[in-house]
This record gives sequence, structure tokens and C-alpha cells, in this order.
Amino acid sequence: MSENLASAMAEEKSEARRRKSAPKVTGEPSRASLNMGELRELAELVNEHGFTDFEFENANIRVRLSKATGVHAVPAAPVAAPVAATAESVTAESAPVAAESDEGLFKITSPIVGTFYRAPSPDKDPYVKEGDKVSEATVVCIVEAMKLMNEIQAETTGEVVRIYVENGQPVEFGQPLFGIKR
Amino acid sequence: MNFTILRFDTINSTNTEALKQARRGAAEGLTIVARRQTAGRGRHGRTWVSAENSGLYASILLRPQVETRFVPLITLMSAIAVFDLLRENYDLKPDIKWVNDVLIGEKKICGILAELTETNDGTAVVVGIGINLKSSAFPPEIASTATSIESESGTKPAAPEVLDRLLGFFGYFYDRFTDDPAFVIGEWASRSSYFRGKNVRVATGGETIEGVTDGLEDNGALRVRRVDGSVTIIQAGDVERLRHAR
Repeated sequence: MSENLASAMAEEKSEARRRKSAPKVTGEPSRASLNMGELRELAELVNEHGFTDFEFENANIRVRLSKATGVHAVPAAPVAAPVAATAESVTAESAPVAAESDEGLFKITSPIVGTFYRAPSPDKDPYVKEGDKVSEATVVCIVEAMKLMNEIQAETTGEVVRIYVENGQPVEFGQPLFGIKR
Repeated sequence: MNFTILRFDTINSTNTEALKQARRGAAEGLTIVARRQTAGRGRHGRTWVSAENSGLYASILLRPQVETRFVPLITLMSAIAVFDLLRENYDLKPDIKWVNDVLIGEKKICGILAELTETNDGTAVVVGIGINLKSSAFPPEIASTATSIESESGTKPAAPEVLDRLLGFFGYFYDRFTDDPAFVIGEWASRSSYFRGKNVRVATGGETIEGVTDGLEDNGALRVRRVDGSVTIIQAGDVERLRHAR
């Protein structure tokens, strides 16, 4: 899953680079939405590559595709069903979209040495996943030490864009757990 | 410290209620106790069997003013309090399995689960303590691995009496903990056969390791020396005794 995500991010970055080198695409009027056919095509492409999350953004449009994994067994096949697609228009801003990097992200760090858990128990959904909006009091994970379950709160408002640690892994004091875009 | 006791007949989980009260600003020492829990919890959402009047189900709210790294020692301190309760009042010979399972003859008699949350009034820690009072209501799956005060001592303790005595020990050790958290290590070491030289298998979040216990770190983490001589430090995991070294 993290590998897929990494490649999705990589693709996203190269897309951003392409845009930088050729900022003006002429000939096609700028649009603030995709039609269903284009969405479906995109969803198929993402599904084909096994990505669980995909995000694309330019001055006019932002598309995020995210595929539910685990927990609910999704029947294999119809791409339209398992892939939830959202398209939203973004207010036209001329500022170029920077390539996604960790710079500028707010890092939620571990307050103690312990073991990182993304969900309250193995059969429960994670507290948060990439793309989720959080606010100060949102619980994002548990760090367990000596059977003391530490609820870690976001302590900022924004969107989860990075999850640095795998479920069940040990973490050190001060180690970044999540990257939040504010 | 002073305790304020809130008694419930039936509740989902005393820990859940205590956390709720903590977020509403309840003071340190609030103790939630119930005759029965409908959703008693253990580590990682495991169920704590909580049949009516079969156990003491209590959660104590703390607002510890100690360095963050020492806060997890609260769970070891809680096990020490239960250990002394059982030894002093019920004439039992308990052991403590890392980190805070209290055992009698290798059967579990008490489980402790602590949860920490940040509130508007600062850090709150809720210590949930489940002590088995009698064994008759044990479901088959735990009957061979759990025991109770009644089974071990022959007395039929009432929950209010056990709670009253427990809070006496708990308050004493918690006051000492807030004065000097480091005292916990020595007290734990003198009560637990798991402190040093025990062959164990430990299931952590990521892997399972085997080795011999080699003391505790100053935050209560367990040191396990493996066959190759390396020491692994366990912050969280399930410890199981191995009968033979491997």
C-alpha cells in the first residue's frame, strides 16, 4: 500500500513538473470539471495500477480517487463501484501548484517512545487516512507504552497527506507520525 | 490523594465513562465503579468479561504532574497496588507478569488498562482495573487461564470492600509515584518474577521474539536478551512465559 502510494505521489510530482515546463496549454478551454467518461477512464487507470489513493490538481480542478481497502470485502471487478471519485472545482488561482513535498507540512510527532497503532483495535477502521480533514482535537492514532494507550490528537487543522509509520511499528520520542497540510 | 466514587449498576465501560468525565473537567481521584460492564475492554479492543458481581470493575482518573516519559510507569504502579492488596488482605502470593498482569500461580486474577487523553484541563490518565472476585461466571475460554479471589482464598469478598482496600494501596503508591516516579522500578522488581532471568516469548506489534528478561528501562520498558546476546527493549507487547530456554 505504501509503495503504491509512493508511486502515485511520484506520478503526481512528475505531472506537476510537466505543468511547470509547459504552463499554458492552449487550444483547449480550461474547464472546472470532468465528465463521467473521463472520470471512469481515470478510475480505471488508477485501479489498473493498483493504487489506493490518487490525487491530481491544477489551477482549475482537483481530483482525488481513493479506494477502500480491507475491512469491507469489495467484490472484484466493476471499477466504478469500489472507486469513490470526487471532483471538485477549485477557485481559479493563478499561483502555480507546487510539487507535493514534505516541506511546509505540519508534523504530528510522538510524545513518547512506544508502539504506533492506527486503529483502536485490529478489527476497527483507522482513526484517519490520507485525505481526511482533521482539527485540533481529532484523534489520529494511539501510541502504546507499558499498556498505557496514548491518544494522539492532531493539534492543528488541515488534511492528512502523509502517514510515516506502519501500523504496529515502534516509534521514538519526537518521531514524525503524520504530515498535515494546513 | 482523595477519591470521589461514582457507582453504576450497569455501564458500557468504566474507562469510557471516566474518559468522558475527564473531558468534562472532572478532578483527579474520580473513580467510576460498576457492578457489571456491557463492553468491558482490554488491550486493543479485547473483551474484559464483566459479569454482574463477579469482579471489581473500576476506573480511576489521574492528572499526573510528572515528566511525560515517566507517565507509563503508572500502569506498573497500579499493578503494585493490586499485588499488595491481594497479599496483605487476602493472604495470596501474587506475581506480576510484564507489564501489569497480576497472576496467582500463573493464572490471571487482575488486568489493568490505562488510557491517556489530552483535555482542556491538561493530560488525563484513566486507569481501568478489573479484579476477578469469583470464578463461577468465567466463560469456558478463560476458565483455565483465569482465577479469582474466591477460588484462591476461599473467602467471598464483596466488591465495595475490595475497592475500598484497593484505593488505600493505590493512593499510597500514586503519591509516592508523583514524588519520585523512579521508585516504581525497584518496587516492581521486588514483586515480579519476570524482572530478570525469565525465559519469555514476546509478541510485539511487528514481530515475536524470544529471550531472557534482563531488567527494566527507567520508563518501565522490558529488556529481553536474545540468544545472540543482543538486547531488545519492549515498550508494548504480550509476554508469555517459556518453560524451556530455546
